Amino acid sequence: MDAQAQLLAPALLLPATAVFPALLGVVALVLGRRAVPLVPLLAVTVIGLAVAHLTAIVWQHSEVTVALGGWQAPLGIALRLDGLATAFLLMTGTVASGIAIYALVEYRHPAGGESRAAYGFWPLMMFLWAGLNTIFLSRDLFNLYVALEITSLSGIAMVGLNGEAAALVAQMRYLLFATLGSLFYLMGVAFLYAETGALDLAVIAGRLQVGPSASTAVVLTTLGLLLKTAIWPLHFWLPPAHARAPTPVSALLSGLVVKGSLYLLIRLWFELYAPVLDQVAWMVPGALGGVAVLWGSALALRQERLKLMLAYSTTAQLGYMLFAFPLAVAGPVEATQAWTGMVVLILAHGIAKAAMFLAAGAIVAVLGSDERVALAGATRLVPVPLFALALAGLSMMGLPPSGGFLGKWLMLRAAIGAGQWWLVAILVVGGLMAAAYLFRFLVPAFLPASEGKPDRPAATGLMGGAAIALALISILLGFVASPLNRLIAPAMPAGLGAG
Amino acid sequence: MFRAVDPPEPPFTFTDAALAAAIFAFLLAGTCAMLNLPAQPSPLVHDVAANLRASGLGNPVNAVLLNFRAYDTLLETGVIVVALVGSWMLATDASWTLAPGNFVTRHPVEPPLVVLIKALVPLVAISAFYLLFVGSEEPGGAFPAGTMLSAIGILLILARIAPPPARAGRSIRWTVAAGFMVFALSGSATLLVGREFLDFPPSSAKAVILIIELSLAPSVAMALLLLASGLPVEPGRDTPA
Amino acid sequence: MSPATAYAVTGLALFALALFGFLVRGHLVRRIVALNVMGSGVFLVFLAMAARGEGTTDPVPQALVITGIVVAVATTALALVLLVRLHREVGRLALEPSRQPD
Repeated sequence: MDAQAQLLAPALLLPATAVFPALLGVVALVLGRRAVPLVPLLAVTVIGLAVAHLTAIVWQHSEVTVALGGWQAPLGIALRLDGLATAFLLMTGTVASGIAIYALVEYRHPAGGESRAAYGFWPLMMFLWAGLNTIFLSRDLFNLYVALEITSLSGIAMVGLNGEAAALVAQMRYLLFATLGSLFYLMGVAFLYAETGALDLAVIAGRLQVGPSASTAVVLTTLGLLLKTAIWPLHFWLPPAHARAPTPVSALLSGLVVKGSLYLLIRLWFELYAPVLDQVAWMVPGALGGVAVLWGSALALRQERLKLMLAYSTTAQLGYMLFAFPLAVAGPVEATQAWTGMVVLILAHGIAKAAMFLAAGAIVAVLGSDERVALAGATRLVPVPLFALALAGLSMMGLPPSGGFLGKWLMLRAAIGAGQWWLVAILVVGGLMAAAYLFRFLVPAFLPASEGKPDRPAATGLMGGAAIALALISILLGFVASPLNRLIAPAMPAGLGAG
Repeated sequence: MFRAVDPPEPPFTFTDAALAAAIFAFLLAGTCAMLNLPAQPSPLVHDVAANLRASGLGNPVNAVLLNFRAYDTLLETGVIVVALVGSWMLATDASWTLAPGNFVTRHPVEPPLVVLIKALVPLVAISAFYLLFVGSEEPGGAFPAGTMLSAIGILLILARIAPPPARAGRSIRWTVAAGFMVFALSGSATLLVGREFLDFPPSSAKAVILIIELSLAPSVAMALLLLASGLPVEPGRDTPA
Repeated sequence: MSPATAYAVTGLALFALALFGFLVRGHLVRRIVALNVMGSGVFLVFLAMAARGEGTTDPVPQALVITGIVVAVATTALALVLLVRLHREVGRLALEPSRQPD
């Protein structure tokens, strides 16, 4: 009975993780003001428990598959949980929880009425969460397209929530290019279906041969997903969208949404395309990532507004995650190290960047501005959010002990072991540049202003608390190297790292 | 609202030419790839045919949509809801509870239009209901039916027979939500009987799918109607057109 | 070239043409229409794949295209509402002021 209950649970938990947030979103749509705080708290608790249970399952069984509708793939759609999916589910659950707490403070309904932004935020956030969880679990290429669309559309819909002109322009740009990326991806899927007659990842992997249609599919899907992940040179749409959006939305977009398309890119290359790609092809994402790190960091250095700096920093940090691609064709040890490093970097960035955006939001709520000059000496007024910013910044710079350090260190070791010195150089230089663009904001903020009597610190309450909590988690990630390794390393698809 | 002047074409620059060349090259490559594709259709054709009886439907496309790949359709319903909420959010705080304004004009409605619409609406409604029920065996189903129903709604608003629905209303929210809710809950109910999510037992599949479609059609209809109706007229502005 | 392949190449050509229009033009309505035409191109490729061979047509791509059309309609609707709101806020129909053809 115990074994049966154990096996029954994934059949419930996997679809529940994907669908329950959406169901809550629809409930929030109907109930409006009465849905708060019930819906967000219910979502965080239930999905949190589900993901915790799923982690325990993966810990023991290393992977679980569920055939939706009772139909085996490729006729039906399958959901599969492995170490990689679990890591991303954990990241999403953690970040979404922190953002939900922040948003409960930011979006309040007036007494006896209903605020527009507060009404719309919760259904959209719930659908975004559902879409992301589907991306992590689904094994069907077309299902992944619909999941990408629901995630993107939810994010897009939230960008203009505050109604400012600049935000609306950024929203339109984001909508146009997100749709363009999805269409490229879908055209690639059309070629894959045409060639192999299936949409399931495992089935296609078994049937895909080297040839012109495979190459076309690779190029099309990769272009589409690189655009959606804002990798240089397709990154231009991200900084205005992430900077102009309301704070909790920026945290969702930079922390989570871009990781969705990145996850899909990783799945496609490492699981599907690996047998049909040659060594040179693997260098391309790495090279683009390298330029992204340098270009994005250089642009971040020039920013005078905190949220814009953070947005450009996202475009830079995402570049590091692509370094696992050229290292995937190095020796098995290096490939596994790079794989684990990549996932840890993604987790650390998602959590730390969300923390930094929430901290920025708390700062703006008190100071009224996120300009660098306005932040000078701000430690008197907003010590808690600034501390969160600094803590998360540690992870972003890759300083020990933090999740960012762990990820970077793994990636460095892999790069050194594989003799890819250009990656080593960019990792080091990028870390220095990150320190520079973060210190530019933090150091003046922490130095007390010379004139004026000291003000009493403003209470940022739960907003600052959410930021601190996420920042602390990004640091704590650096202390759980062994469990992370145990979870993530076996998830790397076999056949890579053949040297 | 938009000045009806056709803007002059921007000049064709060198970058445009380079871009055109690159896209053309890509088109050639893709065509080459297409010419080498297998001439046989996917083996899924046989899988669908073999399992058609068990799906409870006679129309293979709808069997794929509502049974084999029902999760796709569930997500697609979610996409419609997200787009609708997104469009609601694009109204201003002052006006977001007001009725949307796309089909409201300053001009009085012309009687011939009203007569025509009054004649059309029952015919379209019959077609819509027919499409909804015939979808189990022939092409049709919830989405075409819902689209036709939303067209009826637009016609009624144009003829000033019905007012445009104000989004704050409780019944509007329930109508929009019902499709996704019924679908997701039906899929979850199958878990209670020990089956997978969205795993409809062959004996009752047709009935369950019909219930899902019955709630999906009005949901889709209302969502499409509201999406087409656009933003509310801002207080203090002229009505458009 | 079989009929199915001809349709597939047409779909790809539509995709390419509309891609050019999307990237080169600044007018937002044209860009949204371009995305729609690109989508139609993709759908045409899928449907052409359904029509291969001599036997019954493949129902799976047809179902995929139905889903794709709904997603495209939802996206276009949101884009158009955003367009109207954007025009009310900034008075132009292009992303950057420099690209406004008016």
